[in-house]
Amino acid sequence: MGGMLLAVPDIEAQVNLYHIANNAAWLKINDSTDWARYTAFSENDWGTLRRYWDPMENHFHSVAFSGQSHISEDMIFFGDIRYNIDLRKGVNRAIERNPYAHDPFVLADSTQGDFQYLGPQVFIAFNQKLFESFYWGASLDYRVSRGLKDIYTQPEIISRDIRASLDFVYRFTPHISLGMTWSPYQILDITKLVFQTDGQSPQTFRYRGFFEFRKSTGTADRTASYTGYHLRPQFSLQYERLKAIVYLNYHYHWHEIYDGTTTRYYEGSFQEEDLGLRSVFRFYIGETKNFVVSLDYRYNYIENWAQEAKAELLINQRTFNNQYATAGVSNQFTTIPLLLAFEVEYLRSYPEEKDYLAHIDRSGSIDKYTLKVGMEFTPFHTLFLRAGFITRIYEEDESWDFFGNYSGNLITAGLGIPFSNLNLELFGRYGELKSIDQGFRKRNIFDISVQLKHHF
Amino acid sequence: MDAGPKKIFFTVIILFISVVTGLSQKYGNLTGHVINVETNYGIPDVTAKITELQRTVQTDSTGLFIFDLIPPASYTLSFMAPGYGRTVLLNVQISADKTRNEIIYMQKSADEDEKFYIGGIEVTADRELIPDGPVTSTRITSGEIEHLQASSLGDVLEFIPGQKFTNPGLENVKQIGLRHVSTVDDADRNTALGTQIIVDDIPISNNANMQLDTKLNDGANYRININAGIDLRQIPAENIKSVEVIRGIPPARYGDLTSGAILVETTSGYSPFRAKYKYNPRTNELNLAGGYAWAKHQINFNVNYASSLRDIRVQDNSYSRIALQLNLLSKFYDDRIEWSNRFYITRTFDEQDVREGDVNKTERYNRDYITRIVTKIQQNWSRTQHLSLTASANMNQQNSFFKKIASSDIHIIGTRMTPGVEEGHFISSYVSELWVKGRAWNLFTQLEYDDQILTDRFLHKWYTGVVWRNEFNNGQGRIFDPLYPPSSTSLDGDRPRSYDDIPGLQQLSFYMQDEITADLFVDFSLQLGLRYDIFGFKGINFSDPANFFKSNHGSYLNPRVNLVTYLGRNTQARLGYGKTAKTPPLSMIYPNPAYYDVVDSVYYISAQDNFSLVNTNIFSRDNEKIRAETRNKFEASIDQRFGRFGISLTGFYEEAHDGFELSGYNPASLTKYSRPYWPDENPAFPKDTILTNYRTAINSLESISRGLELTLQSTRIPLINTTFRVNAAYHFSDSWWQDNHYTYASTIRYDQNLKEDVLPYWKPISRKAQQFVLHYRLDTIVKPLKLWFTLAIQQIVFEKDQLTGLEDSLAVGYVQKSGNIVAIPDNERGDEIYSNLRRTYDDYNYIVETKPNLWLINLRVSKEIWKGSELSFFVNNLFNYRPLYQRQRVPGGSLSYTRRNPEIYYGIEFSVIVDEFFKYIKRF
Repeated sequence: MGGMLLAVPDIEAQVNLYHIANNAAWLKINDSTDWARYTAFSENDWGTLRRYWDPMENHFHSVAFSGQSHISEDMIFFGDIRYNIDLRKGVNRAIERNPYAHDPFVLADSTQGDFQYLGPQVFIAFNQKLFESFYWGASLDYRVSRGLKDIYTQPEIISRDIRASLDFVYRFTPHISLGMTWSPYQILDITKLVFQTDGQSPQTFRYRGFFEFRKSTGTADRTASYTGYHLRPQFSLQYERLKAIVYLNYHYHWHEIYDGTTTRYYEGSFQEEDLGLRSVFRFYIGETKNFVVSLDYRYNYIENWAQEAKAELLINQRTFNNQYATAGVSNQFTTIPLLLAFEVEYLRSYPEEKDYLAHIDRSGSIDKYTLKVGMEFTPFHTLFLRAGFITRIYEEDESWDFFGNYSGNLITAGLGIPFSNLNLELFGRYGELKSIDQGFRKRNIFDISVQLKHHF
Repeated sequence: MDAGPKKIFFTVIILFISVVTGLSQKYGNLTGHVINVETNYGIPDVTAKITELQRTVQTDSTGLFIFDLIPPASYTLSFMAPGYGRTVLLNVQISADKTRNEIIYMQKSADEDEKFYIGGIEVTADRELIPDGPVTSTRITSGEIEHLQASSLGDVLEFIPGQKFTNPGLENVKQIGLRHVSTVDDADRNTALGTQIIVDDIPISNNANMQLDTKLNDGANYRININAGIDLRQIPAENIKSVEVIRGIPPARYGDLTSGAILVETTSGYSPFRAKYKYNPRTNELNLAGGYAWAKHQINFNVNYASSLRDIRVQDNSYSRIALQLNLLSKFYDDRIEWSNRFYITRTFDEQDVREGDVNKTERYNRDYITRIVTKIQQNWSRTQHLSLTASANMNQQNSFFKKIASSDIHIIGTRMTPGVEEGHFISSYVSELWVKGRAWNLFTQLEYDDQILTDRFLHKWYTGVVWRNEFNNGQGRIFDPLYPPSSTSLDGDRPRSYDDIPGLQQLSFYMQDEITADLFVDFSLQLGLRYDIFGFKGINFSDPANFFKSNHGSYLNPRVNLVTYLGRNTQARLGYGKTAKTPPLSMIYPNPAYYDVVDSVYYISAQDNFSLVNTNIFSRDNEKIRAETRNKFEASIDQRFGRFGISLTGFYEEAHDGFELSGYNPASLTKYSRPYWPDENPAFPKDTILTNYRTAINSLESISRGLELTLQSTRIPLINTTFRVNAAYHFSDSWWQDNHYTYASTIRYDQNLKEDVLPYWKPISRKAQQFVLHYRLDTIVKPLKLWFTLAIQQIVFEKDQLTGLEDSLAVGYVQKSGNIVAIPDNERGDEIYSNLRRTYDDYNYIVETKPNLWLINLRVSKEIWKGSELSFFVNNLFNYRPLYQRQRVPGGSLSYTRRNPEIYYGIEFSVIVDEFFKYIKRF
């Protein structure tokens, strides 16, 4: 249905503290059933519409097993274990997993090669009702992957990512609740460089900003560690015709980079703070509550800086003003077995960057408009047919030189087959994004997923 | 062995036989019902056990249990059942010719431990809180092995106190040394060699491995383990039912070992058809297993394929293993005869193809083809009397290959296989190919009789047996074209060698053991064992009773004593002493000969116009009289159970003597001749002398190990569904050499005082080391979720090592250019005349290397997906914590770091029981 997560009420996309604010203390209230789910999906995009460090092709495949089960009447457990296969073909020079993170440190070599990242991911969440109105929860998300570039410099990138949360909910009334989430994380990425097959040392380029780098010859590993936390006080309204979530979010992020296999040479450090607000409302209108109007507004302000390690000189500073608004409506017709939905998204980001090493001071807006239209047709009670259409326009100030302006359309199709206590879901999406200024630069998207859910 | 111990041995045998056969015996019986206190119905499948006799029976469908032929005494009875926990009855008196009847009431409890399955993984929550016998050992169950996602036996040993956690995989040779901290290479190697691996009652030996000088080990990768313990990668973990690691005094049944024994029992009998796939960044593994049972017959199979990449960037550098096992078990004549046959086939491929960019075009492989047949037939005369005959033949067909472009300046080699003179061959760059083809045989036969006898207040559980082993190698040997040797320098030559002429290594052993259980002031159980090992058995010398058994490597009388006294219901103390002995392997006794090609004359104008004369000298390095290594082991333990916890504290002291090594120094003074009338060899006029040496195996290494081991474990704590287990091990090891191992100067020098060219030698520098390692293991089982969650934490509190022998810097002697060894009398070593021969040690050598506290956290999760299927996941070094340690014992001003902890590693596995899968599908 056009990949709509707001306009269409769904058990997997509810306006509640679990889905909107990631508060594990709401897990049992979110879905009190026991089930198991098997999922396989493949997300693919390819083409020349890309940023400088980006790959030509992305192919992300994953198989997952998830399950939710009650441990007792007051305790519930959710677990998800998946294996991720992340193939990135034609990555331009960057030999790190996320070169477009906000920090200015990028490790690169001189070739365009393919990366293969493989690794499992485990997510568990636990929720217990302690008292009549008081719930607590906790979650742990652990993922690890090992990536390898197929050609020179053949680095191995080991990434370990741990995120946890401690969550609380207090229900003043059955309709009004307050929540709190504290969510720390720690990430460690190690890029291991090795002697090449001909016995030579690899040559790498250690960027500090987009234009300044130092050449390095040798097998000195790069270690990047990231630590931080989110603090998120939340407010929830859960009435029959109104569901609303409002939360504040404070995010602190610290990032250190050092090089060397047996001795640490600090390359630099980076700090980011992010203050945000989000409010989501969903109204159920009409006698049968079949007409649903949903609104989502987000704002966040991000400020960060980076310094080099030796003289502790400031090398980079950025701020971001991001606004995101979504409005959606859906209607389940009573006369015909049809659900229609529309969703409009608008994202405006206004970054400002000062790169002191490269003597660059730039700012400019990035705007993204998305319109989604979708329908679900139910010819029999054991068959759901879904289709959708997405159109997107992206505009960026020319000072950024990321993608340039582009637009594109995508179509989606899906199928739902419930039988007995099983539910089979198929989903597919295909489309093309095309540069507005340079028509030959395109990016194709093709996603497919299959999911089998088994209720106990 | 002199006549004294031999007399003692035979006297003890005669006394023992007369005691156990000359006394009459009477028995009582015990029967009863185990009843559910709530329903008043009998409980089936309860395990009833007489602790002192180690006898167990299962209750039938009505809860009935029967023990017959019980020697009269006072016993401890225990009853265990899934969901019912454990009930213990103390001081149950059994009288002769009487049947005692007991009614035992048990109550079902949600809190109690229960065996259940996560997919096909058997989760055995029950674990004895304190050892149930006198021997100090570690037991590892199949569930723990599966949960660990081990690929081979080498991966499962982290449960042993003091063993450091490692990542699973097959990319390098895996061995184990028990109760030993790494000191010097030879001590480490001997410790691994002295750990006997016993699979389904058959010792797996590396004694006949002759893969010498294969050039397959390149410093970074170890593909071959010669003169050391067996490569544990050859034993798949998947088919293992249980592992027991005997760290203390081994029972007399086990021989040809020094450090300890690892008893591996593989799965046999009925088991559901099950498929499993394991994947981690380096290793892929697929396993299929299953078994049938009908009437009195059982058949069981296991097929395993595993492949491990040595470097994930290089696909052509890998180790692969295919292992097949087939078991047939049958019972005949009302179960009076049990016959089991087991067949094992293991094929391994350790391959390294030419790597892109390698100018030497190096290729290596090592391909082993192991076949083993085991047959065991047991006659059960009564419930307590058994006679068993076990025989096995194990053949390991080994094929090692090394190919390389050898490139050097033009030099001269000889090709003679016998001493003498020939015209030399000029070589520079060429392609060298070396095969080492061994066929290592291990033949094993064991005849054993066991029985139980009651004499007065003493219950004797005894056995006696005889073992014959023959190990030999009749492979083709080292094969290469002598004109293109795998390595050569101007002096050291290399030649092919056939293994046809290498004699076999025979062992003959007699053993007996009596486990005496009695109540004399306190309850106790005393295990008295005696083993007589004849290594290199050469026959019987009837004419000389003092040397009745002829042997090359000695005869050894090895007493073994283990005592456990039950000081109270929850307290026991154990004491042990034992002696063990290990034969030297064939590769120590018969290493490859040393070839020296002395170039007498040479001129070289061009490739066409040249001439040389090479004088080939050959030295045999055989040492047929090398003795076995021995070890004396002492230990004392105290075990205490309190509530849901049990604690065991063991102190041990071990001393190893006559450890073998290939470092016996033999000087060789080689003469260069002028032969003016060649091709007439004579006359030959000496014109120069070259001093070199070759090494033979000697008994030299001495080691001690001592330490404390503490195990604290709990049953499942109800509220958190978690068991705790803490292993703490402090180990100290020190090694040194007898006065036949020295450090020799690298080059000969002219000494102004002695007025001659000399090569001085000194007492060697060794190392002693200690470590304190703690393992914390938390096992949480959430039954409603069918989830098993394990957090295994390793804390290395400290690791210390220091060099020893630095205090003696005076020369012990010197070698003259003629090859004559001059030993300096002890009281003259400090004399001024030898002052130039002293050596000095920089101050930094005295620094004690102390590595600080280190943590390592591993996580494992197993979850049932549907009945019979399971998905497991592990992450080792969860936080990828790999701190750097700056080495202290380095020359001033230099910096050297080592990275500690293995790198982060993870893997997943999925298994399914085939029948359950189809049942699951049918539900829809």
